[in-house]
Amino acid sequence: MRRLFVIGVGGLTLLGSGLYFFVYLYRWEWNRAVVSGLIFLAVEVALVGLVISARLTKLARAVETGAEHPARRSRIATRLHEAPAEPSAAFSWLRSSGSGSSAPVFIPILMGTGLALSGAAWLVERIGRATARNSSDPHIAARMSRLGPPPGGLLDDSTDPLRLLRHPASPR
Amino acid sequence: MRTARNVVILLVVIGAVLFGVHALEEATEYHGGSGAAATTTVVFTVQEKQFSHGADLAATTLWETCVGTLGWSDTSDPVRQADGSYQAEVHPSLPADTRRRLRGCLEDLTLDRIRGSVTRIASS
Repeated sequence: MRRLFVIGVGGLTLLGSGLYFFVYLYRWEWNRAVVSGLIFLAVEVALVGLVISARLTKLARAVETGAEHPARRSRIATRLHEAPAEPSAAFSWLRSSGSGSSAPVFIPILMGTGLALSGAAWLVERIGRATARNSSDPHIAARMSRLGPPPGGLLDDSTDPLRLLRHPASPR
Repeated sequence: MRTARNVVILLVVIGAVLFGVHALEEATEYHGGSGAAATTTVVFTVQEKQFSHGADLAATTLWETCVGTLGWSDTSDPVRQADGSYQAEVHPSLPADTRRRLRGCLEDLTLDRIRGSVTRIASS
């Protein structure tokens, strides 16, 4: 469509400039005749280039697609279409294996159980974190305070000088 | 039969070309000579673009350039009229093709930046 429009405009221009070339010659207006002739020449060269380029494109396309050996080309194309597509290799362990054992069925069961256990463990951890109390428990402090030596030290005999004699191993 | 048809076509084409060339020759040949009457009067206007020397000089230059290619015994300078056009005369009068040549020269792009337009060209 566009090509037709271009050729139409070119043809009209050629016609007009050619006609006016002779009209200006008749009127003795040389400069205008020269300009008219120049326009005619330029449009003619453009149109010739367009035609040649279109021919070249058609030729190149014919060479590419191989206008010769059409029978062979169609045979090969049929073979390529008939060949089946490669089967997908994803989830091949899910399909029933050749030996007939149905052990692979347990794989998703085990995976699901593992997932459930992980979820339970996570829940337990969350609950534990929420309910565990602070380290500043007063009972802990009381119990830990009994771990130290007695008030005067282990060798203190100020209240009872015979203490160590009577109770060598006792801390009191 | 094909050869005969080709020969006929060739003859027709040659005839057309010869006729065209002859017509063109007739249209553009300068025969010269002078006309029958005494004077040819030319009234023309002048348009200029960036010609910074005034319309009078433009009209005179154009007239002298164009009339210099013709054969005459006397010519006058263009005189500015009341409506802005210029009138000039040529003695003796010019024949038809010479008048066409003069008009073509005045109206063509003969000089840069000046464009003339002939209003009236008459012999008397």
